[in-house]
Amino acid sequence: MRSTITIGLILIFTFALAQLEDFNHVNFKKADSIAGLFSKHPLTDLQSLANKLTQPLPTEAEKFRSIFIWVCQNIDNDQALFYRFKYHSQRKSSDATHERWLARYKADVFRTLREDHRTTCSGYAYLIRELASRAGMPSTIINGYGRTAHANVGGEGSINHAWNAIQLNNKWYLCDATWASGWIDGDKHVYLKRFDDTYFLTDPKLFALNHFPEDSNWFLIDDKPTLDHFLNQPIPYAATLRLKVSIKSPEQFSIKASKGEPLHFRFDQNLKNVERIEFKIVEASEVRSYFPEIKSLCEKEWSISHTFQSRGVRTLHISLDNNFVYSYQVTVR
Amino acid sequence: MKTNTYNPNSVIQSECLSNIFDNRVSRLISFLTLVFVLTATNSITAQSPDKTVKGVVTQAEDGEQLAGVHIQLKGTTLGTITDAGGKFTFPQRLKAQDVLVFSFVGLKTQELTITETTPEFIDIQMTYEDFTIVGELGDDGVFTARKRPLSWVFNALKRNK
Repeated sequence: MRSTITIGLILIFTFALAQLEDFNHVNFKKADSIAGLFSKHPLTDLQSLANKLTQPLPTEAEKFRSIFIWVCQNIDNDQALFYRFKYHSQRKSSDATHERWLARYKADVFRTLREDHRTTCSGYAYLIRELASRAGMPSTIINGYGRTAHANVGGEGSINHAWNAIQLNNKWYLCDATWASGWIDGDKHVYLKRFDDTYFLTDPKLFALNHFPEDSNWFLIDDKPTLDHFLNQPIPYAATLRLKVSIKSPEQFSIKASKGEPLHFRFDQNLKNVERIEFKIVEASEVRSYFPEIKSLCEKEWSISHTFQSRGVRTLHISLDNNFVYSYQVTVR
Repeated sequence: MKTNTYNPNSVIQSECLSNIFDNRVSRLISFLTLVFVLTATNSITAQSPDKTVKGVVTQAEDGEQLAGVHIQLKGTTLGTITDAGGKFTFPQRLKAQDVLVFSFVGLKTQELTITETTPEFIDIQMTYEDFTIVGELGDDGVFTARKRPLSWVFNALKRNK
């Protein structure tokens, strides 16, 4: 009897611990190497691909990791499809024209995925869902507002992005295979493949910095932002999520400052571990760097500040150890 | 004169007769059983004869014949794919209740249960997945105010980094 209770307690404790730490204790090396074995596997038979990627692995987290890595490593961003969508979104067309355009676009997205292993976010999200569900893990495609330096900054916003929720051990998690796989260099118009762990089973609070689901249930957090707040907050970057930097104020991207008076930026995270904190301020054709001093306001609040010496409109970037974490537009009067 | 006296031989004879009769009955029963079983088997076979399933797979919206559609016998690893003209011949003869699974990237997976009435040449129409397609991609660029040439500021930031 006593041993049964002990085993019961151990099980409860183990479960609680797993919920608490989730997958910190899981080593994904085996999953990553299995994903590497099936480079450019054709997409004709998804069931067989799902089996190859997951059957040798014991846990759901590892099985899903193998699928996620395979998709990120083997599917490339397609720039032509991306720009076609971007330009179409900016044009105003009648409903019928839009429907026809969407049907053609859908056909092209899937053909490119099938034949060339290239796609846009919907293709990534689709493939993740198909492979995961074939491996016995429920998954869904989430459409919503994706926020980047060039999308959904202010304005009314537009639904431009797709990502996934995945159920592992009866709990839902969020991930974004598109943004984890690499990125388009808008300057050189080339796709740079670079896996970013930031978007694999991300903390939903951080994920909400640049993902706003059409169906708010998929935030997976209680404290849901409004769309207006989401579109108008300072611009975050992948490093913001990776370094878990949340800024308390100013809360708006577009802010006002007075000439000669300090503008304060407050964080609820100790920045003392950061070696180099930097303001990069862009005005007209000039980029200037400033290295502010970190002040501890109270036990849980730190701040940095900058004083503008002349009037005008500037873009202000905050960078931690050479990673952009937030951008603001400042009007100095 | 033969009297109705007890004759052990006649008893034996009559037992033999009864055995012979019993054997005949049991043979008849066996024969009838065999006939019954054969008829039953035949009727089952008549309901679901093995058949070779051939067909063509097209895209429902535009009628395009789909090459490379994967067709699998559910619960097995046995499968085939459609040729350039969307046509296929399933490599194994199929019987009633067998289920074929048709899958193709971007189209809804379809299942077809084989029945007695399934024709030998089937026409499968597959439809697109019905979620809305969007087109965002990874963007690691830094925000730049739109009035300025984008590339210049981006380069300036990189130089400054």
